Amino acid sequence: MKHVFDDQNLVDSIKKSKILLVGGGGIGCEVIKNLLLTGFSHVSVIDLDTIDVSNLNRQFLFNKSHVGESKAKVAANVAHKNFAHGEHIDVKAIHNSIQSQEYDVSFFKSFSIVINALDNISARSHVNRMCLAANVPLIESGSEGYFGQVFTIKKHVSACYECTGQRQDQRTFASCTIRNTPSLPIHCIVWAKHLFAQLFGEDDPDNDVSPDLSDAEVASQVNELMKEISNDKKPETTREWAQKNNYDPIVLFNKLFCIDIQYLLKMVNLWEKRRKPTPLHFDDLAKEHFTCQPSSSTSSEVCNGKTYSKLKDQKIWTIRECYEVFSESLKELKERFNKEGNLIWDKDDETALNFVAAVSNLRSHCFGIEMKSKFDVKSMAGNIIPAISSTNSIIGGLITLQAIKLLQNLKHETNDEKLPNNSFEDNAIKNNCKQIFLRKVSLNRPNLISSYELFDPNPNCLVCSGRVPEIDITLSLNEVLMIDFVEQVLFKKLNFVCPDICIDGTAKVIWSKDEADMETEEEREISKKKLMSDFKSLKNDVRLRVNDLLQDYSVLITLKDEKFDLNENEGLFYKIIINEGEIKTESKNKESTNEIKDEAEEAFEKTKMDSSKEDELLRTDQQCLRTNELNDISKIGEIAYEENSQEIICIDDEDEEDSEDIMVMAEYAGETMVTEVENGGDVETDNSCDIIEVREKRKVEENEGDFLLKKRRLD
Amino acid sequence: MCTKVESQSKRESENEITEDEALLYDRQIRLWGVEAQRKLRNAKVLLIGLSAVGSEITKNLVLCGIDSLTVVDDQTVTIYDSLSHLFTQRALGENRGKASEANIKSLNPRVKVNTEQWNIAQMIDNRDKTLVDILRSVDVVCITNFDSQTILKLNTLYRELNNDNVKFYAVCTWGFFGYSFTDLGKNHKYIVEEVVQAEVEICDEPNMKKIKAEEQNKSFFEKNLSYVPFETFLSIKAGKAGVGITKRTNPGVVLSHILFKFYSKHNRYPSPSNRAQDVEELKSLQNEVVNELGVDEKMMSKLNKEEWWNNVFGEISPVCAIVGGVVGQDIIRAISAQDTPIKNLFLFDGLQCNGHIESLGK
Repeated sequence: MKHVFDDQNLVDSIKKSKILLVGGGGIGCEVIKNLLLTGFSHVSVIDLDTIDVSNLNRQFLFNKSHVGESKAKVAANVAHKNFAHGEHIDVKAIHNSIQSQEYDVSFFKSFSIVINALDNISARSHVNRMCLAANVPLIESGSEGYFGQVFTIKKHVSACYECTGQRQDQRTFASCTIRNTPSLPIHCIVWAKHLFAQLFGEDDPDNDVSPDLSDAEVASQVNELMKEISNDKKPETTREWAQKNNYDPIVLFNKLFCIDIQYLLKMVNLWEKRRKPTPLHFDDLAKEHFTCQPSSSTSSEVCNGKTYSKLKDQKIWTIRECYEVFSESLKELKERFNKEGNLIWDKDDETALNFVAAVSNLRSHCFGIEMKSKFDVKSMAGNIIPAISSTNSIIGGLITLQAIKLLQNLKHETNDEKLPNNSFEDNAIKNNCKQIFLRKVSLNRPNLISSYELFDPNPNCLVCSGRVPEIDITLSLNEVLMIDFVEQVLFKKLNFVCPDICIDGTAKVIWSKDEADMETEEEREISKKKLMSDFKSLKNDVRLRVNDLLQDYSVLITLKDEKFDLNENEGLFYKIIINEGEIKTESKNKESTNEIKDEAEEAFEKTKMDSSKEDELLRTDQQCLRTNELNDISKIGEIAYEENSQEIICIDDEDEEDSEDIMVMAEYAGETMVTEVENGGDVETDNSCDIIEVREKRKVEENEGDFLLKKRRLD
Repeated sequence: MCTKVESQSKRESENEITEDEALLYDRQIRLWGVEAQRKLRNAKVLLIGLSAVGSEITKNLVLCGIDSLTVVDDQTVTIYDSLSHLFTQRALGENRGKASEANIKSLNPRVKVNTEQWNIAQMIDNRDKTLVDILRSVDVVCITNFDSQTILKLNTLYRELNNDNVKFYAVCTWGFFGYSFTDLGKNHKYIVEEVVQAEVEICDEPNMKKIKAEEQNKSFFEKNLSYVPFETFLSIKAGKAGVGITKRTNPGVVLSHILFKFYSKHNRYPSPSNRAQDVEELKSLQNEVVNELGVDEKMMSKLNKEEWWNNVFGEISPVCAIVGGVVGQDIIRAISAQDTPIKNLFLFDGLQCNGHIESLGK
């Protein structure tokens, strides 16, 4: 048979190459189909997940009879049956996490190309590091709604997944916004999830739901408010209190939506410039207006003069209905908790979802915030990303075209040995592989799918630059548990998978993932309770070397022992400063380069605007600082002046009044340059914050002239 | 009063999305809403030519839950189908539609699927009653990998039968290149959701903080677009921007003319089994077409550098997936009358990985 491809070498290397496909979901199903049809003969697909009904609208290799089975196994079987042609087609299925230790560098080295079809940042970062360590090219991808992107990562040739800095896995809100002054539905939903955890979940002091006295805004009143508490008996946790009251729905209801709200009202400073909340008492529920549908939420919606029906879950509950759902779900969760122990909140757990939907709406009602349907609450609480088959189909196709391009440019190897620094091959990849964006159809923009040259690697990248990055972490050694440091900082923030912690310059391991795994139940319980200060070598200014043997990746961490107010740090127990080392001299030039790059960046921005969900592949060169309040404009200017800031960048949403404020701020800021960047008001969707960035120039004695990007909260 | 509501809801229930469907289609309803889903579940689609790109379009439409799909195809499965077709593996020599039917149905048992082995060109020429009836009753007609004459005749007949109220798609892929033509009739009305920048004053007191509730400020706008028939596309030559082909027009437009011309001379598209001769023929056709259209030769220079003539053979799986994804999505937009559809050409270049929308004809 004459092949559709002109190039016999290509046909041969397609047959010979070994592909690792990480993820057998929406994009994964598409990719495996394209690969087999195109003639790829060695494909391994790895996925930890099982099949759910909501996958079937796009993950076309699965049908109803497969629900509950392993995605990797079904995808491999069905794809082999339907699309494999020719002899010796080898499709392997691995039902496991790619972050598991069995998949080490030599495992990754056994593949010609790795393809990421993932939905979370943690696994993406891990595969990125593994591919860099193994020097295997990686095709990275993502999709959301109508948008998507594909790009190729090759060590020292193109930007890696982590070249553009830390990606936030989760949007965080200041604890005082959640506990004291919610202004958006999402704030109440987060609070409701915290309440669930407080009542039924694993103990987590960060998720407190009671009014927060440490709020800076109520500082002047604290003594007076404390007096009132001391009249009460000794403080107890929300759970203890609920258990004491046998989870009585009426008692809980009155405490959460009446007593606590009344208490918040006493913090008068909070309500000077905000709308006051209204306490809601159980006895009020009988009132007529709490049992009627609000006019905007009947069973149908009117659009263009036509009336359309809604889904059951899209109706907004009345206050009375909210209470009933609250009471029923509370009862059921209590029983489950008594039987099974701690519960984990899951968006697909109907009762848990009902609880959060009811509680968040009741709280929204108290604060005069728009109420949301269960359907919408599920989206927000479960971080659901809308997904359709056609977008995945396009992204899967683009990935396969990139894989073909890579093979045309990779050396045709006969064995596993790869020559390092093959500059010819690297150039060919740089010239032929692209970063590709898929946009939504628009009348103003002819490019639906556009491709750009791959970005250069960031010479200061924490991961691919080859340097061991230096990181300063400030926390209170006497208060922070070792396990929290490991889980929140090393795993969650720095994406380690199996780190060893040593004091730099010594070989002594003071904490190791392996040891943690081997301990007995009892020992684990003890080690869970160890404070960082219980490790004798951990002192202020100690330098730690954290080494991940699996990822072949290490960082140097200097610990700074300091107590600080969590609320001034977005509720986080640590502050992190990444020492960038050398000045980025390139950055200025980059800004003025050709249009194409600009458009690529614009496309990044666009993708970012249209989808602010957590797993979006964002690239932003600037770190942004969020502030809840812009009412004390002059203060920001003063701080900038005092701190010798070089520049303040205000990202403004075209509000004229704010522009005036910025002028005022500029006056106070003295010589500090104030730049206003206008955007369509689309960047932030989570709250009414304005974004301000303070780019600080700090004089560091040891490293004079260094520029540090330091995040600061301005309240 | 209660009974009245009940009887009303019973009457509507046939058209309503069930709880099962809400679960199955959850992730897409979160994108395009219940009303779009309701329109989709009532939509009847006619697909002529179950080529590889046709099979990709089929996949996207059946998965999202249209009412019914009628597939017309009189071809037999060849060895080339195994390189890109979704439904015909191991059915060499069988009718392409029949061999696919069970596989299509298994994608989504809720969708009615029917296949026919009609010779469509003949039926159009004879104004066959069965065809006329079906063209009057379906919501969308899509024809894939046919020649320009059949596309032209079908588009003309379909418009004539429906007073120019049509949803018509003609799609081709040639190797690394893809082409689609959209005709949504004289007046396609659709709604777009746009964010209105307006602040909601939540409190009366003047010094209160204003709360911008973005979601509340989204509203629907009705818009409309007018499309030209395929005949107009074929007749467009070099000319001013907006009416003719200019230097800035995507060269894929010229490429499509070359391939349509190749078909009309050889009664087939370029074939891998006849590659050497076909390449020569394509090169000489390029000169003819450039002259006929009166376009600047330089327009093709970018494609020529890539030797496009070596890359227009057969159907390639990822290219079919991309073009089938774009067209499938656009058909969904047309059916739901929601969001801006493609007007009126989509041109894909798989060598560069660029997909371009071009608007030709007034």
